[in-house]
Amino acid sequence: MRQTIIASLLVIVAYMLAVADEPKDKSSSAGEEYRALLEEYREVRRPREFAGKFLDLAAKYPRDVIALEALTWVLTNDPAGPAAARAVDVVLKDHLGSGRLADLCARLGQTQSLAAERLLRGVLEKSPDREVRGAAHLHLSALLAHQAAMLSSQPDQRKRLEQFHGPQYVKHLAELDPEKLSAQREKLLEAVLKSYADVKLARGTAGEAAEKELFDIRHLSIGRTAPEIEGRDLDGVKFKLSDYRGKVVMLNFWGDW
Amino acid sequence: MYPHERSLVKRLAGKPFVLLGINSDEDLEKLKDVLKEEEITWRSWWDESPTGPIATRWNIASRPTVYLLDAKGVIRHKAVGLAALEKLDERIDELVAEANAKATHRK
Repeated sequence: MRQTIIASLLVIVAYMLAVADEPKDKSSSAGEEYRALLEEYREVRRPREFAGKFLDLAAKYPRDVIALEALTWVLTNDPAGPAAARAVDVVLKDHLGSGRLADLCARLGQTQSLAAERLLRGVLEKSPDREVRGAAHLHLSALLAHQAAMLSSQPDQRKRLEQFHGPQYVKHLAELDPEKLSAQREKLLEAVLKSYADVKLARGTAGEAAEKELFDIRHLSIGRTAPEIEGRDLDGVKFKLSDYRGKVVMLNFWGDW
Repeated sequence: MYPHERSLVKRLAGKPFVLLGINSDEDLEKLKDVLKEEEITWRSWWDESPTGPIATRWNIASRPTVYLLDAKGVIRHKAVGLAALEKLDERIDELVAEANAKATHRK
């Protein structure tokens, strides 16, 4: 009898330990491995060499939040490498349902790569999370805006562009048409206004951000008539921009600071 | 920035060109001292703060930001940051030449 009680107690204790420890142990070891890898990387700072290692880490813990961290690392540190293309596939396969994708989209909107664009397009179409889809629309528009800005870059800038983003990306840029990029952005931003306007961002709503960008495209771009400016000068005298039609105007936004 | 603007205004005096500022300083009195010291003769709207109504409407993220408008009020060039201002003179001269050519054509 006594033996049975001890035996069952042992079983219960063992079970409790197992239940308590299993998920915690698993995620903390994923976290530890991630941090260790980061440390190791900081010693050498060769992203191409480490992108594969971060990718492997994500594959080892497919259901852990750390996996998404590791994939984000790949996409932001070696965006033009072969691991980045794989990382896009893994995100779209293993993490499509994650609400955290909104953050990843925000970060990728500030980067330049074929991988980032493909990921944003994939998330925009397939995420089951409405907020994530809204974010993907906005950030894809931001990425396309960067591309448009790159199109008008000088030859010396282009060389640096090629070093950092790879020849494939520069070739992709060369095939783009600024008018079409603007049209694509307008479509994305109109979709935000129609379906995702209330989605909250770090600052304000997706709708407010989209309105601002649309105004930029339609009224503040090269080739568009400048919006009217009306106000008072430094002596308090009213005047407006259209008073100066017939002259070339240099508008300078300045402050003495 | 100020010496460049002063020389630009001087060089293009009498030409179809005007330099207009949108100023974001909060202290108007202090600003008026700067106008005197730096011989700033060109006109500015006072936008009262870096996030004033004009800068907000124009989505200004950093200063200096410069727009060049042709004689019809169409935006022809945009430059953000000091480095981008280097090629500005060339662009201004092109637009002034274009405005002059059109004015002559109309006569």
